[in-house]
Amino acid sequence: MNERALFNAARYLGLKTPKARQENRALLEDAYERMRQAAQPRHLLRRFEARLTDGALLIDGLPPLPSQSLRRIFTGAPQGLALLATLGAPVDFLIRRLMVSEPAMGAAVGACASAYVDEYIDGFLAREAAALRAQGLRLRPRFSPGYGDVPLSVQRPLLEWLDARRIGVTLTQGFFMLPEKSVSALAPIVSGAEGKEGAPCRIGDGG
Amino acid sequence: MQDWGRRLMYLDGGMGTLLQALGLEGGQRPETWNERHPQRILDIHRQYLEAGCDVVTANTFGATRSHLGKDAPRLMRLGVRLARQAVAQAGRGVAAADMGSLGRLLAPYGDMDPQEAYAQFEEAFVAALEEGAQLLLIETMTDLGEARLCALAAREAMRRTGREVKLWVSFTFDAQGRLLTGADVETAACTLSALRVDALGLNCGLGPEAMYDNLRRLRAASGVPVFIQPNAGLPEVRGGATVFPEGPEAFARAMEPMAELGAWAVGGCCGTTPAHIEALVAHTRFQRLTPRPSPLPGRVAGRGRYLTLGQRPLIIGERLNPTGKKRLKQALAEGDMDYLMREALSQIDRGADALDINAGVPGLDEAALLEQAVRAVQSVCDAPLQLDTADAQALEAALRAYVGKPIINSVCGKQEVMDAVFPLAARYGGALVALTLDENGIPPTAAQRVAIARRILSEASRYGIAREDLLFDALTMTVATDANAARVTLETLRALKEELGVHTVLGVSNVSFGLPQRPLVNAAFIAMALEAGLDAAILNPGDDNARAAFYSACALNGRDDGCRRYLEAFAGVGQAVEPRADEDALRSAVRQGLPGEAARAARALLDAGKEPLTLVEASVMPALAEVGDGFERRTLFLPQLLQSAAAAQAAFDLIRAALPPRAAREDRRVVLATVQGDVHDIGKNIVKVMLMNYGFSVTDLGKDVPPQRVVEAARDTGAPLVGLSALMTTTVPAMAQTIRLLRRELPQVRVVVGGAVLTEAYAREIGADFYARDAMATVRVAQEVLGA
Repeated sequence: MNERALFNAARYLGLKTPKARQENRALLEDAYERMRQAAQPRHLLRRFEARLTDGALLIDGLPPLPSQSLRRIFTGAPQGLALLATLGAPVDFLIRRLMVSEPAMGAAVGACASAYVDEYIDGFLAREAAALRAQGLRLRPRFSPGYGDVPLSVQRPLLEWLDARRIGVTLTQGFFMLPEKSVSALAPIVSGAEGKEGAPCRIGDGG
Repeated sequence: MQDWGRRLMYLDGGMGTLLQALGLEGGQRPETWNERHPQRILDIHRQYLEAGCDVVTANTFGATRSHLGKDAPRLMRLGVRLARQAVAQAGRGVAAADMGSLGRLLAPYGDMDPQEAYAQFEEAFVAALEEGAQLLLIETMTDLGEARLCALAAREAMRRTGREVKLWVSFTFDAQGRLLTGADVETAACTLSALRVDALGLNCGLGPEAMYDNLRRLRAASGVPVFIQPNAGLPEVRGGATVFPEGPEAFARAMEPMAELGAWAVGGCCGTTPAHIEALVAHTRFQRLTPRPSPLPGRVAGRGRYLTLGQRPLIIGERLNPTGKKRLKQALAEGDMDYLMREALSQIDRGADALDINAGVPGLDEAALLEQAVRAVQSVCDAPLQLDTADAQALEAALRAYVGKPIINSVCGKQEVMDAVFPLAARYGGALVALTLDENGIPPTAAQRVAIARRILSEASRYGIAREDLLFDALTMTVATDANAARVTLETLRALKEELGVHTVLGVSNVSFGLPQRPLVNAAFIAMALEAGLDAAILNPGDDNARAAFYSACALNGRDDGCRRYLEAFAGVGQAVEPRADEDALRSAVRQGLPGEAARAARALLDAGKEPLTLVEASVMPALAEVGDGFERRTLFLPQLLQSAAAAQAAFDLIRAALPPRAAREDRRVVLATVQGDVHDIGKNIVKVMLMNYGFSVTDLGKDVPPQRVVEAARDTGAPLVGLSALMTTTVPAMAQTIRLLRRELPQVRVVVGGAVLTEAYAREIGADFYARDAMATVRVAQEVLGA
């Protein structure tokens, strides 16, 4: 478990001070290992042409996504990348089991899983970003449904369009993703190789 | 299907791929084209039949209400009609109704009610069968529970329509042979073979080469013929779209080994076209089939793992049976499934291979309770369960709810019992414990018990139940009242093995009833029974003597290769220290968060005659208060808080069992729920753990809970405090709605809210009485409302 993963997992667990992190380091390292044993990380990516109207983002194959937030982040972005990532159902099962038998470990595994799904996404997006740079393009920070003014109901057409079932992600009637440690997002692609890329605006994760 | 098993048969290829090429738009359901563009669908079937395929799959993958609402049955009928029409026009082939996932995860993991799922599948299959479907193909299944439910619904539809057709079920595994929900090839095969499906298959997810190993494993684990429909290679993203790279020739070449690996039917999935099937036929049409798979050894399965009966002696944990267990009875009466889940996991941690589960408490609805208990235990435990009930209705409810292939406990030689239990075992699948007694009671001799076993075997075979699926119980009687009791049991075990060659099981604890130092007698009996041929012992894995005897005897009998299990159980275990009856020890164990030590200390104090309530007041609560204060001062953190809570829970379980029934009655109750639309419940679960360990009784409604259900629970339990949790801004309106309904219906109830997006001000704005920023703060609120 690297320091960044430790820091992020500790943050998800509400351990904000160096002392708190240090005192729980062994627990978090054990939790991280257990989570990694259970995790089956998978993801889907789909590149799209982005068009904007007054109040919506238009993507071929999807209904208009009415959102000023999306409109703002896609301004100047002729393309985008849709992504869906999950750690798989066994992580949910592990957390559920541990919350019964070892609640402290259950909470720690949950926090590690939230950190890990970010780490996993950062990994494959870094590869995508490198490929885009070679084409003179830049990947900007990702944005997830459920934040800003993007309603969660967008998840339904978005996940169908991504064929989410291929990696076992389903939606509840309230548009939450299962397995819980899953993230969906849209990231703008802009021209020019310089500028900020990679990190999320906000992460619409299930954690 | 007259060629089935005589030559390699061909399924068709992708449907969605072709429809997209013809203009199906994203977001449009393919099944709607059965009505809008029937000629195009018919044309696709025709192309596949001309390519040489034997089974055309109707365009009905999503013809259920989950995907199509009330149009589902009509579109199913239209789809099947088109497939039949294509077959009729071609003058050859079979029209299969196709069925995929409902697209929502079943409860308790997801929000799909299993009964609703079953009803949707059944409705779809009835429509398909009435329309003349000649085969039911369930495919692309990634959840074992949904696949099992779907297959059961298919059988029920056949019974209702009076039309028996072949039933094939196909899973999508990853390259390591795991379903997306975790079960492996062998567990899935065991579960569906037990439902007597006609063939099991693999489809989607992978290209042909990546499926070779999974196909080999599926054939070895199925006991029924297998089929395969891979994608045209692994998907690649090109120009923003997913494409499948393997052309017809490459696909067909990669499919050549499939018949040799055991497939009786081959076809394609995503990315394959009539050209792929034509090439496939050309490459494989002269291949010979492997012989029909041999019947399997007896196997049972839980949600995520399986056991082979007779391979090595098994421990079946007996602790989930309320007979003589006051605390478990109390938990069942209160619907406290958390206690059952803890007991289940504790037995698994102590080496249980499977768990007996019984919910028979006088005055309670056994059928409802056993079903609830099975679902709860399976939500945290992937090992096989042994469904223990004498009530046929409870057995059927549990069998319907179960995921996997259970052990049914039990059948016996009484005709009436066999008439009730065997049909259920045949329908739902399951191994059985078979008691060697009959209408005349328990026979006094081994020969008579073996004679009953023969009758049971014969009757079971009438229902198609294999001898490998029976575990004969030689019946343990009490030596204190009959000096020959154990000897007869052991003779019966030997005779069952030598004369019938069947699997055996015993509940061992009865042997010592009425004697002092029972664990010692049980341990000796376990060792003797294993030597006599026992395959499965129903015992308490928490009994160190029993475990020691079991693992030692297995090692000494040559039934534990390399003493592996013995070493797993005991390596690193030192001499047990006798716990002191010391209140400081209990307090310290809770403070330090050591559940095992807390339980041992509590047990020692109770055995020494300490008042249970004194232990709570003098040791447990002060320790929790100390930890809670530390958390609030930021000198301790959430993990320490939870570890202490778990230690307190371990002590409470013992203390509550020692309390007289009246004293155990809870009046400090809190109802907890994650609000409707929200599935995030870790925060709520942490709050629950904390409240329970501060002595509050919690009614946990789970996640995604409608407002009305919260009101009903608060009304039914009389709880003065309701706790609501929401993680996201989008679900806060549901929280506000729940509070409004509570105010209207139960104005006296106080409401505490918490969750990542809430603040004190926001909580006030939506009408909550209290805002709790964390679990400890919720405990303080509960203490304020209900008393410390």
